[in-house]
Amino acid sequence: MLWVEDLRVTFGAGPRQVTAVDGLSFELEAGESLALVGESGSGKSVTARSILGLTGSGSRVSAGRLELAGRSVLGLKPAQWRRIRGSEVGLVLQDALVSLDPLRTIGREIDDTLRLHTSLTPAARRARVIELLEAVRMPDPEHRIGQRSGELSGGLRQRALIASAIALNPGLLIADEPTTALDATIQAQILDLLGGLKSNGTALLLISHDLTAVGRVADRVAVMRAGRIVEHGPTDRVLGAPQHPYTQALLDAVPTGRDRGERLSSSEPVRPLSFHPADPATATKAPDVVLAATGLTKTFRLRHGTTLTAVDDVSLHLRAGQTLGLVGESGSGKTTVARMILGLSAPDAGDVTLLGAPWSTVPERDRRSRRPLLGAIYQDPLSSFDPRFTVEEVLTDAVSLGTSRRGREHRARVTELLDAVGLPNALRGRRPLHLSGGQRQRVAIARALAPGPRIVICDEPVSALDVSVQAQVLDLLSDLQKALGVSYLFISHDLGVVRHMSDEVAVMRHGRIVETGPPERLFTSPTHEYTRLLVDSAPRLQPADKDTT
Amino acid sequence: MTATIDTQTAQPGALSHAGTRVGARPTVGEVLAVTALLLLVVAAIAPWLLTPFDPLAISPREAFQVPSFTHWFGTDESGRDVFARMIYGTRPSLIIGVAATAIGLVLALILGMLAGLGPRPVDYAVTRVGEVLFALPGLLLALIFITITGPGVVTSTIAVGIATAPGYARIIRSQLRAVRDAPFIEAATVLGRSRFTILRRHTLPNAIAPVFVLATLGVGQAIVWAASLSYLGLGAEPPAAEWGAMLNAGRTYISTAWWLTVFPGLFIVLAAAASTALGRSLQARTRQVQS
Repeated sequence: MLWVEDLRVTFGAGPRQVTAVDGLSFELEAGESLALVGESGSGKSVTARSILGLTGSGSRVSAGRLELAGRSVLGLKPAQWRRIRGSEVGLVLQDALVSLDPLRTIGREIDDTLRLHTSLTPAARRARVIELLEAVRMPDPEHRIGQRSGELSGGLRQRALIASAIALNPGLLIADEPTTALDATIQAQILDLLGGLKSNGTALLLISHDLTAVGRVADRVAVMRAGRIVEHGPTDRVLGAPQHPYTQALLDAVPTGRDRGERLSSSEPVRPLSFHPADPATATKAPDVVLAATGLTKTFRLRHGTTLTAVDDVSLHLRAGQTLGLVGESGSGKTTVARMILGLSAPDAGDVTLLGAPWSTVPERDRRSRRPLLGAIYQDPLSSFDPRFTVEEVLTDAVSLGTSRRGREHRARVTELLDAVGLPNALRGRRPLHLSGGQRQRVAIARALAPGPRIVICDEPVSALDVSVQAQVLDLLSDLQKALGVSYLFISHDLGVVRHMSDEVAVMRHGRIVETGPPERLFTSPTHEYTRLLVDSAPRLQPADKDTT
Repeated sequence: MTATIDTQTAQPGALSHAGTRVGARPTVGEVLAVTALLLLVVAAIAPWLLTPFDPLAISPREAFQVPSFTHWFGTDESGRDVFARMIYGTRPSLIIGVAATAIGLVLALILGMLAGLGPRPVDYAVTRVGEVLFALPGLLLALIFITITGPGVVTSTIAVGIATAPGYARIIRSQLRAVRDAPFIEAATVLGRSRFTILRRHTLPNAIAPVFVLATLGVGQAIVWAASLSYLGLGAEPPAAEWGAMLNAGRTYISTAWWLTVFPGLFIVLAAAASTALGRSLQARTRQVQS
């Protein structure tokens, strides 16, 4: 179906030329699925695009062979490409919200492909659209056909996008990170749906950074790094008995099913901070519960006079030196809980106490002097830094408790912080914009630790990171906890991450905590049906892998 | 006649962390604009360096001479050297442009901060008034002000300043509103910063920086407006050497002595074009590109 030999894609020219794909070869047969796995920048998306002629201007594609259904597609003209796209190759992208026109109904989106490539009558096309929506198991297709993408949930949007990609029965379907933006339960459904398409003889090329996700549908896996395939083989073998050290490192980085305390990366453990007051010795003498939230409730008023109870009677207890994991899908109210604990939004009912003293009920003025006790790390570190500040300024500001931005007297502490989070000293003069995602999160961690907090609220701290970078950041957080005795409230949608990090886990759904308990019990024998559903949908590596590690 | 302030291009991505091309090599246009502006600044500071003639010295016998090697731009009806008058006229023209922009910015800062940081009723009132002023062409607004206060250099400068203020105020307000809700402001709150510290250190600098770049564009516009008012006899008055006033004085002789109107017009265009070009490229260079 697809035959790629010695594919090369370069961008730019002369000394600035960048090779994105460097001598890639693979083939894919009808009814088979191949997953291209790699971290950001490995060239996997560029590979997918070159098969569709979508690498864009300024790119040069060359190959020994690039054949689609027995025909070479090298050097095709735009008009020829257009005939192939949709009819012979379908594409499903990561973010259906961007890929679908927000002003048009999904019925029209899907109908477009049919109208352009077939001579069906409008009535026949409508019947086909409904048939397609049924094929992707869209509930109530007759009704959904008239809805716009904004009215659909992420999972339903992705289904609509897949329906439009398979409208013409293409022999090859390329799915580029099709489930990355989705919750675990939805992700499992979409992956199963994609896997089911294979039975009609469609070849599936799946692009993903997530090893555990591809294991669910792919027959074969090709691991990419820096534009090359480093390992290629049947899914069971690659995930179960990896040959290449890079594949091994990627698999080791996956926190799913790894015990608490087990290291995920090969980074060096950190040294304690000289100025940090909360060392493990004092932590044991501190009050057992450092942060307590009791009966937190938050209601938002929506338009049309309706209200939404985002958080409903949530109680949490965080103990000194421990990690409390808060897990739930998008919209479950996790971040609203974090905001109330951070004192950024006042609860409608219930209260928060910090080290036994009232916190949420006192005015901000009285909270301010105790703010250094409570740090925060956010999902998107970049937007949490003032764009005008360099790394040094960000950290000096935090270390000096806001009294100076460039003070010399704080240099030593900033150096110590950079060292503790594993950032080279040379980066201190840079702006966060010019750092990688992992480096930015390290700066964010350093900033959170700078005032010497006892508690750090981590809101999805690793969900925007590649798996190997995620492993390093998780290890760093664990090391810092060991060295400093800080407590974490660890919020994540990723079960594997939460299980790896937490001493105690609370599962949230629709603003309520449905189940709490130690991670082992919660994930091996969940009592609440929702927890069971979450655990069942969580992507995991092949059982074979667990035996080898 | 008017160089409009582009309120649209000032907005997008103003908050995002940005890749700027501040360090990129200057283009030919930028070099030309900077050279022209530098010459104008020299003319404004030390006009005697550029011309040996006195701009006010009357010499009736030499009236209406065509441009020559001695009198590059010719002489006017009183025999005064037009080039000298152009050079000496740079100072009042530039000062009016810069001062008017400064007045506009200060007014806009006050109004923009009231609207952007104040309580909702204040924001509502300021914004509505701003919208009414926005509906009137800037020059008309300046004319209304002069009608009330009477003509003169000072009043026409203030008039132009007032006329430009609503545009800047609107941008400052929307910038402040956007920055106020930015995650890094929340992060500063979590770090325990007081509202005042956050305002001083994070909100204001991020909100206002783009407006100063925009003001460079505004100087060109203000020069044109100030010259327009002088032309109408509402600003600087003859015999003072000011471009707009000279243009008006030369109007009587437009059929016989073209140099009396062409050169002042050219200088107005040159000053406005150069500062607009510089403003545009400054804007492009600091334009914050979504990363």
